[in-house]
Amino acid sequence: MVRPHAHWFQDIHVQTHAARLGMWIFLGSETLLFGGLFALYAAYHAMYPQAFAKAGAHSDLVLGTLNTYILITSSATMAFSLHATRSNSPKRALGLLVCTMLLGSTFLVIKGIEYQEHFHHGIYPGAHYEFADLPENGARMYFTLYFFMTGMHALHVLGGLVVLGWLAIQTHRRHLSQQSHLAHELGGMYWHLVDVVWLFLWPLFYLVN
Amino acid sequence: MRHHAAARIYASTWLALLVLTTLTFVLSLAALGELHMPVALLIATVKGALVAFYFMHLAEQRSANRIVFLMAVLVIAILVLLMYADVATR
Repeated sequence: MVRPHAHWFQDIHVQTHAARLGMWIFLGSETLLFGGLFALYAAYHAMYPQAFAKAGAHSDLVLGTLNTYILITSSATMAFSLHATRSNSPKRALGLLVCTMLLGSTFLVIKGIEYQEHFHHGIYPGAHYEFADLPENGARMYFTLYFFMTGMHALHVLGGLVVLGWLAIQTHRRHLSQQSHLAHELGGMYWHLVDVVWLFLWPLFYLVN
Repeated sequence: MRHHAAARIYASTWLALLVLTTLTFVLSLAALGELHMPVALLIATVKGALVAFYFMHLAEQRSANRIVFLMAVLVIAILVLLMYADVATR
């Protein structure tokens, strides 16, 4: 099932390039969204270097690193799923999409466990912070940034899971074909972005000391 | 033939990402002092580039897409570096 190209594009190749370029630009804007938060982190880290190091010791390095390996692997399964669609293997593509979703869900579960652990110690964002071991302002800023940045990222993971779910349904119904599967490629790009953002969040919040 | 080449590229990239992650972790245990975060972020940038170029096929797409990618990386690098330098030198 191949759709004809929209008439304002010269041909299907120009349309495909426009779609990809548009997606890269959109991902660029998403990156700038996180970029602003990274700049905030840089500023507060420069202001409170010791507090950041002490607060960073309270993150679960094992869970954080495990989540990094999980998202990297989910990017691999995503790439392989697109490859399967391109190789006219929709069953394999569906299986790999489901794998990707399972890995992404596991990431969120682990994140939830970490948040629970923080709440248990009175570590909440902003004005609700009441962690007795580290009352200083620098620690409060660190954890506020932690919740905001990993929370924003988790929302993107959730959005990515919705996109993947839709792709899985489309693949299952054979609406994506070897010839026409741009949605699979673009949806995959979004998932890879979610992985890349975490690759930078991991050192900021788990290797800071 | 293209089929196997692509699968090999994805597998190699995945392996490289796992190795670089492990390397980052090992280096975090070394005595690098002030260089810890810059080194970790540098490796993260390499990993991000691997995901972009091979998982997201940036390497085989048209150069316009690579320019967009490069611009986003540069803008964020400048923003974060100058922000840090600004506050750290006050």
